[in-house]
Amino acid sequence: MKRNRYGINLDSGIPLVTETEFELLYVSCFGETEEHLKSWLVESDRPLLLGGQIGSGKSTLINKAIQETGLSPDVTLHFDLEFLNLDSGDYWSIVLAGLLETALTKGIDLKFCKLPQELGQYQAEDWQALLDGLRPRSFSMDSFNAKIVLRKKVAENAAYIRKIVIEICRLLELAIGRPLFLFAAGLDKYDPLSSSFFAMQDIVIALSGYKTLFEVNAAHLFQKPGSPFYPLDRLFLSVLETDSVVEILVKRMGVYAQPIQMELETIARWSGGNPRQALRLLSHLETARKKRKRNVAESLAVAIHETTSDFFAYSPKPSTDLIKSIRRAGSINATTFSLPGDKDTALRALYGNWIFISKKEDSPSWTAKVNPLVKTSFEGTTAPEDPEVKLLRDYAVNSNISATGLGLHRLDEKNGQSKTGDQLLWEFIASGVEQPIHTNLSETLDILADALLSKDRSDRAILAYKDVKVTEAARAYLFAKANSYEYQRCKHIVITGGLGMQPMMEIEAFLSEDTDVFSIEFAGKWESTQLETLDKQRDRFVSRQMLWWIPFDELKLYLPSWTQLRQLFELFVLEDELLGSISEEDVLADLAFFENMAGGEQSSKATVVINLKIVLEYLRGIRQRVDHG
Amino acid sequence: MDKQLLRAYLWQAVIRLGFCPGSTKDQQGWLFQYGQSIKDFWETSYPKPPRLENGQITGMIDCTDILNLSVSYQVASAYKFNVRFEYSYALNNKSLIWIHDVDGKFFCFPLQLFLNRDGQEKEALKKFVSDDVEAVIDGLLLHPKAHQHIASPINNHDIRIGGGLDNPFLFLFHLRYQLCPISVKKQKEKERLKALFSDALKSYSPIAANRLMAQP
Repeated sequence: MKRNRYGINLDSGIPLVTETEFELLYVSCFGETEEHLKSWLVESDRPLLLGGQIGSGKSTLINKAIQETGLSPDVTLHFDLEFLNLDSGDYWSIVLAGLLETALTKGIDLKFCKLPQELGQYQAEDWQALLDGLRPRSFSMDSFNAKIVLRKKVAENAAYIRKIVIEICRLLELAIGRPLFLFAAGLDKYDPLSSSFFAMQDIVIALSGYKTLFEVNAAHLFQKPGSPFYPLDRLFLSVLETDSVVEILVKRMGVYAQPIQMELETIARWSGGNPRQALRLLSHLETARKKRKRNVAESLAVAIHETTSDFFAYSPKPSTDLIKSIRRAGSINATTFSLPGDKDTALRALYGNWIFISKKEDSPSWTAKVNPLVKTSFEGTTAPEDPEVKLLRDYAVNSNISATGLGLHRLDEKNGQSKTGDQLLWEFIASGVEQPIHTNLSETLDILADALLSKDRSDRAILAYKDVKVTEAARAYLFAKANSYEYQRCKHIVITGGLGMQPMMEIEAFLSEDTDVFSIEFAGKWESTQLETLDKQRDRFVSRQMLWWIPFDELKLYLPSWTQLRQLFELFVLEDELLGSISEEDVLADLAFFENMAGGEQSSKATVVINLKIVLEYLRGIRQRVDHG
Repeated sequence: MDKQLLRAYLWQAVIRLGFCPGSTKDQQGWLFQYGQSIKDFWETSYPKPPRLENGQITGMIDCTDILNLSVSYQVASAYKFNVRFEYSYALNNKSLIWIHDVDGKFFCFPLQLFLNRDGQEKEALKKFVSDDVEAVIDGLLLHPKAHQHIASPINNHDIRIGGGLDNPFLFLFHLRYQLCPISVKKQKEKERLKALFSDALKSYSPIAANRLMAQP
């Protein structure tokens, strides 16, 4: 990703990777955890769990520690990039392929068995063919089907594959003359209570025999005795101090930070110390500020509401009792996370970022707080007394805006009763959890524009629609706008999920295409396992500009399965008709400009023209229908 | 040759070579590239692309990130345009506005007429030195002699909005420089423009929009 040296660098909170990114954007905020991780990298040969909540900065911290110590993993196993069924065949295939790749690179003799022949009917010593079969370099129907067959065989012979994996590890250790360093990346994407997480227990046991860094969610640190994670050393990545979050935001805004210093502090408080949440809030604030009719305090309220909607709309809520208990005590007992039955709600609350835990107090109690974004959505809370809410009110006062009204409507839309500005504000913020905000296409574009118009950024959006008839024109409009300044190839595909369907294959095929904007329409009745599989592949979409079109009625079914995915997506519900936000005159004015300049067929301006004509035809069709009653 | 006279010729030539796209299509192309260049020059996001409405090219550059200011323009021709400055003020959604309006049908001192009569342009273009180009660029773009500062509520003394600029492309281009908050870039841009216009003046060839809008 191209980064600005002095200006704004916003994204959806993806990890820092390159030296330039660290130089420009990294804030040394992980304190002792960073030091412990570096010490472990240098000195230890035991496995380690590095756990943090979603968006806490785990990948960035790992990248930084590796960069500073110069100790890269010998083998990196990505458990969040490619799946078919989330079963042992997938998991062992990932491990086997990762080890094989390193072994072949190092020229290690693998004649100890004939696995290529046994598994894939390749030549007995053709390990490269086996590797290509397990992890094809390019997509084709043949290679995909071959991969399915291979992975099934791997699942059927898991015990045998385990032995081979251990032997390859032994040979690798012999070759490098020191303990093998493995990095099991992406385990944090697994809901600790899901069957897919339990299905990978054998893998964890096998990898625990080496110096393996397991990247896990904080919820995985509270496993019960008997879990393979239970006996391992662990390192916890806490939420950040407010000052550190402010520093991160200041760096992201570059020279543009100074005028909104006060707002950045407010955002930092509302982030709860979670850097990705802070960045999403900042991103929404930036968009909201550009809306001319909003004052800054209103923009803050909108940013808070939209971030809440992105992360929590339609998510299953933890129990109010749990939330009240945490708010009252300011802590949570570690045993709460591992008790059976209803108490599992605590583990899910932790995994889903409904609550944030920070530094360990006297064991077994952990400092805990409710995520500021969702506080107001629980009954019996006293939101106006909370520090971050107070900050927002104070901000309104300092901006010469009445504390009891941030410019919001004073009448309840449903019953017409008069309410105070405070009441309406809390209800407005709380509603982000209940349902996503509805926007028209023009507003949607305003929010998406920074990313959609430029190849430098790759952001993703879920667009829920009620009326399928508007989607073609809406899509054409977004494709046209995406080509306003740069030529961006836009491709659209319909992917059908459901019983007997192979949506993952279609997604894999689609992602292998050379394009800039990937547009996917979800059709059929996707099964929960298919949705969960997609959720695990979150990081596969990180570098891609994506528009996902989902029927509004299906949204409630999809979003609860997408705890991870929604971290990288903004959520929109499109209003039913386009005429309210785009007029024929607007489209004609755009067309007149671009038509005059359009060059060859494969140009940005020609793409704008082609797509605007689709929109124009749609709008004229609507108008004709209206005119003819 | 008198220094003042020499610079007057350069002044006229700089405008002609850099800021006089001819046809409507050329003007559209110029303004399109202008908007495109803002993103990297200010290190922010793209503005909305321009459009053609009722024979006028309209567009906007958004300075919300640094100034809470939006700048929109309407260009009817090289002699008639306006640029509207709108500051979104927090209190009660009020906006503060001023408009830089140029209407070519009204009389203005005909500098060009006198220079042409004098007929010393060729000599001026042979004799100019780097300092002359710098002085002209300063006067036209970087530090216009007659300028306004924004005093309240933004209060930024480094921003100088030239009051006497009656060429739409020149005016917009000087905003690109004046409203840029990155001082390092502004310094580099000064050097780039000096070199760019020195070369153009020596060869007396127009500067294509993409070269004018290049990044420092």
